Amino acid sequence: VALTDHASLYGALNEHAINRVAQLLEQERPSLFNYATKAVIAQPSLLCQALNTNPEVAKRNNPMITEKQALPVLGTNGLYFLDYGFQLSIIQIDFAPGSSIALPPELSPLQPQCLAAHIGVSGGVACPSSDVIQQLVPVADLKVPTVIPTSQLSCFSVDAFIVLGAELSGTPPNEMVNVHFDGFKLLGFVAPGLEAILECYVNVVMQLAVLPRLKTLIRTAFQFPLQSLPLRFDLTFTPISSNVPFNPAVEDDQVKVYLDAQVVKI
Amino acid sequence: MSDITVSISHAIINGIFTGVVDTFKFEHADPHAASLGPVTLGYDVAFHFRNDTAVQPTLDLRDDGSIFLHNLKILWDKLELTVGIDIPTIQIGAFCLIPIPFDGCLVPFPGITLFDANPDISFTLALDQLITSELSVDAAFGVSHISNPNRLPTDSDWDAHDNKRGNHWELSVVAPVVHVDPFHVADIVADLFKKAIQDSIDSILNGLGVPGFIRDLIDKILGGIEHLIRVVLNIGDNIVQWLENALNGPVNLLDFIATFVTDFLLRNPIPIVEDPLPILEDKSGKPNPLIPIMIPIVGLQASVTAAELVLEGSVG
Repeated sequence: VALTDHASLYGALNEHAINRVAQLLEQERPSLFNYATKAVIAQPSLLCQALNTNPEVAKRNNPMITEKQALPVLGTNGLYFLDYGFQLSIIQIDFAPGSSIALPPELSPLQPQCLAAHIGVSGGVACPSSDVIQQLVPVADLKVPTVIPTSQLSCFSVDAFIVLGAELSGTPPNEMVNVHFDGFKLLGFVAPGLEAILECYVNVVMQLAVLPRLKTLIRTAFQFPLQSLPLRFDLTFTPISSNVPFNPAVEDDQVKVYLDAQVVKI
Repeated sequence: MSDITVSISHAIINGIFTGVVDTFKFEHADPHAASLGPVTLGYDVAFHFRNDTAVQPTLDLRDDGSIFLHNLKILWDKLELTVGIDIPTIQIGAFCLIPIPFDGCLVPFPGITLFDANPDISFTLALDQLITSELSVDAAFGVSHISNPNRLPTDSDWDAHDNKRGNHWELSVVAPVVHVDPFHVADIVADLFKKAIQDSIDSILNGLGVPGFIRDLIDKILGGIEHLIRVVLNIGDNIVQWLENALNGPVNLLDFIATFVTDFLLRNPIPIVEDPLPILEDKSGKPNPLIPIMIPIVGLQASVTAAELVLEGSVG
């Protein structure tokens, strides 16, 4: 059986490739994974986890950390702020059938045509000591917004597990890849209530913000020029059929894509 | 197990081939390609392959891993055959055309030496519409990693990419064996050939102002155009056959085409992917653009079946 029996082109990536790409992404585009306030960026040793970046990032003056606004202290009329930082790291991605991630019971077993991601989340807030608080100017006397000085962050870390799937809908050229969010679980919080609230929040963000945006970002019809030749591929996803029941297909520890192609002279 | 698999169907491979086959251009000239007794042949040719015929050029994939390119019909953009002919020298001594009886010669003929150059006549036949041929190629695909010789030892992968001196993987045609079918020459070429010789001889004689009876004499010496071609030039009865034999043999035009096509195939690999492969390039145009993510590709290999070309490799 040929891989292209029912499509013009077939492509597959296995978990090792995806995990290695994720690792390179973290090292070469660290600003996607590290977020902190200005003071923490100026002193990255404050971060809860050491930065692991490719030397080229610094050489090219690329940002290591994405700057975020400091955390306002409630009740200070926006005059006092706390520094903080949080970091993500993709520990592992696992394509169905699940094999390399020990999923929490709520998400286990990994369903067919799904992928799981284990993401490490660590963060810290610059909690001032009593001595520092004593020395702060009273809010009533404060004229300008002030970030409370810090010498360290109080850190926490949790493990996040996400289960995602994708399916093709529509017919060419109006196909869409719908990414669906099949589960999210945080491990590492002491307070189950807080854990549930955060899981709920992430779920809402994913459903209302991330997935709709992903839907518009994932193209299903695209052109691919062939290097050095006066030709290009016009590509669309191969429609779902009994021969191609899933596209993309997440199976055999791989993500597989079937495409129909036209060779066009340019 | 490979990390990455890309499979391209035979239909797409063939589509790529037919899409570019008419862009291959070949040209060559050899003014002294062959010497066949008193006849010398040279050529000036340019050709490409046509993809506008009912039977299209085709690239077949085979289960044994080889590929077969066939129905490659040659369309001559130029096929000029220059023919040089060395006609045996004819000397006619001096004599008196109109004598004065018992008192000398009123009109003497000073004598003449004809056809003492080599070649004596030379003409060019434009045969681009009159010769057909096609070729086929047996070969295989191979994948190679190419280290860019311009890459500096101090280059990072990003420096090399920015300065277009990165390494890459390429797909090439391996061990091509080109078969060029013998040329077929249209019958009309015999008439053109004969007429060109006759016209060339007439032109020489007209230029010298040779009188008519001397022309008759020369014609008798040469035995007429048919005898000249058949016997004197040793071409035989069938000019077309002789020309086909010459083009397919001593002129080496077949060898030239085979060699040229082989060299072309060997020297024009198709780049597959830069190594490392840059993804997520920053096209914002802002200063200090974000560096692309560089994905090392290792162990890329190609395999062929009748149905598809499969490329497999891993992320390093």
